[in-house]
Amino acid sequence: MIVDALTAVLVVAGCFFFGAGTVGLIRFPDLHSRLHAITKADNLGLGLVLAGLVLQAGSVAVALKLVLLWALALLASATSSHLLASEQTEETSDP
Amino acid sequence: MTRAELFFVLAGLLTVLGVARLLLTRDLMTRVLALNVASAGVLMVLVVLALPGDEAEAADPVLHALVLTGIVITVSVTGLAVGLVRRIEADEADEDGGQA
Amino acid sequence: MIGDDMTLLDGLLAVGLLTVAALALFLPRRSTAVVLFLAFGVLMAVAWALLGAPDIALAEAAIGAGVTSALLIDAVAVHRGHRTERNPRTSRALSVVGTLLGGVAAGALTFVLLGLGARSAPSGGPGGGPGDQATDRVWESGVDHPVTAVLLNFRSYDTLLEVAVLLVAALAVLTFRGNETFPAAPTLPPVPSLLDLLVRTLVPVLLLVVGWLLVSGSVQPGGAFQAGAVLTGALLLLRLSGWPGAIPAGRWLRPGLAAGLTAFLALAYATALLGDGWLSLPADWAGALIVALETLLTLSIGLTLAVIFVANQEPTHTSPRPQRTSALSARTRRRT
Repeated sequence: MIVDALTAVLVVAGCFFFGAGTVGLIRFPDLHSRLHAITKADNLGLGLVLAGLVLQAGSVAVALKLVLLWALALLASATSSHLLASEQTEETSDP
Repeated sequence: MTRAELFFVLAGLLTVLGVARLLLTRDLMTRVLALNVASAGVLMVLVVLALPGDEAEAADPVLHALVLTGIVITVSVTGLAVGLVRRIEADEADEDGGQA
Repeated sequence: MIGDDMTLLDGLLAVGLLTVAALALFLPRRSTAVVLFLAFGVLMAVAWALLGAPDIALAEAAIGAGVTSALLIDAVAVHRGHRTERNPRTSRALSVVGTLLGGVAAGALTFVLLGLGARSAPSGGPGGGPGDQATDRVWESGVDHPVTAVLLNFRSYDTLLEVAVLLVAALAVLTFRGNETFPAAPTLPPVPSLLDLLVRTLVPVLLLVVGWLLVSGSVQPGGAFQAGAVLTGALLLLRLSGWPGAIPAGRWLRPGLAAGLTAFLALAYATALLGDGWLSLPADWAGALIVALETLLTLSIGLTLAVIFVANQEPTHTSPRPQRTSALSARTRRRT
């Protein structure tokens, strides 16, 4: 019961952060601040959602796979936002 | 409304949306996107038909296999279509550049 | 189950899918449309999972939200722009007619589909329809997973033709390049070290996932197509980061593309001439044959999808790049 409630809280918190990141994506004026918003907020949101799911995982293997998912998503989003930001700095064109 | 009914309606709407846009738009890349959306709708009909009738049954594997084949064929067609569209638009851009 | 009531999640997903599809098809900016199409692919994968089709969810995530979206994004990134529009007057008339006809069609289709759904048991002759027969006879097929059994044993002819379709698409896209060679190595500026780190970390994991999907397809959702699409992702990641050898460009290109279909045809002819008939796998060898065939198919599908992407990549109307002395370019030069 407590585990289920904790999962619900974590997943809802994660969704809140995703929503915040999306609001930042829509409302921020330029590419760099938008990247900042979505990278930070979405990764934290993903981490919270996966933490909630880890509590529901049946075995250690599944829990470790979920953590691995988060690590890979972090790496991928960090790299892609770095590439986008550095490319845009070179071009200095519209985002 | 049951889940099957909901997804039937969704599939029908997606198919009509895709086919209508495919037939009525002039832009080539939109047609490629519309074709993909329409095929997703049609495949969704197949998957809903494959839903098992009760707890004990398994999902219909023949329909799942057909849908899997459909997805791969859709990507082949999309690859070919994108190649054609790029070539057409590149040639048009060359013509415009020559005339301008 | 077919009688399950819809949940809030189902309803939200349906609304989300329709919204994303409509936006992707109607927004004027191409780059926005294509990225929304990627989101559509991801939501479709979730829909397949909700409908109890995990193999299809894996395939949609890898192929639909992966390879197709990569193809489209690459197409619009080079030549970003807006959709070409019609004359405004015809456009308004057409959108009215289109909406009316579309509404009628949607209504008719909904009526037909809901009528279909109401019918309960599957039809078919003795022993049930093809689905029931397939589920009952999985134990004969050499694998434990019904969808893999159907794809690679019971209906392997369909899979053979599907592989042929992929190959034809790749060859057609290669011919669009005309006299230009297939680019052997990407011409890129030096790559940021973070991308290099990502590739070095991610590609081994992806290759592990490819192997796992391939092998697990015999027992649980997975199989050659999902594994092949993930392999395409790995190859494209290597290629786009500047690794030279990822996609063979010279004399290994065509053999690599044809390997899957050739192996499949060899199996088909072998069973036709020496065995029970065209593509009837002998029962004791079936499992091993299926895994071996799937391995070759994975490599071939991975390469084929990657070749389709790369051959679409450079604009085909620019002046030919410095000719590389590969067999491909020598052959095209001799022909002209």
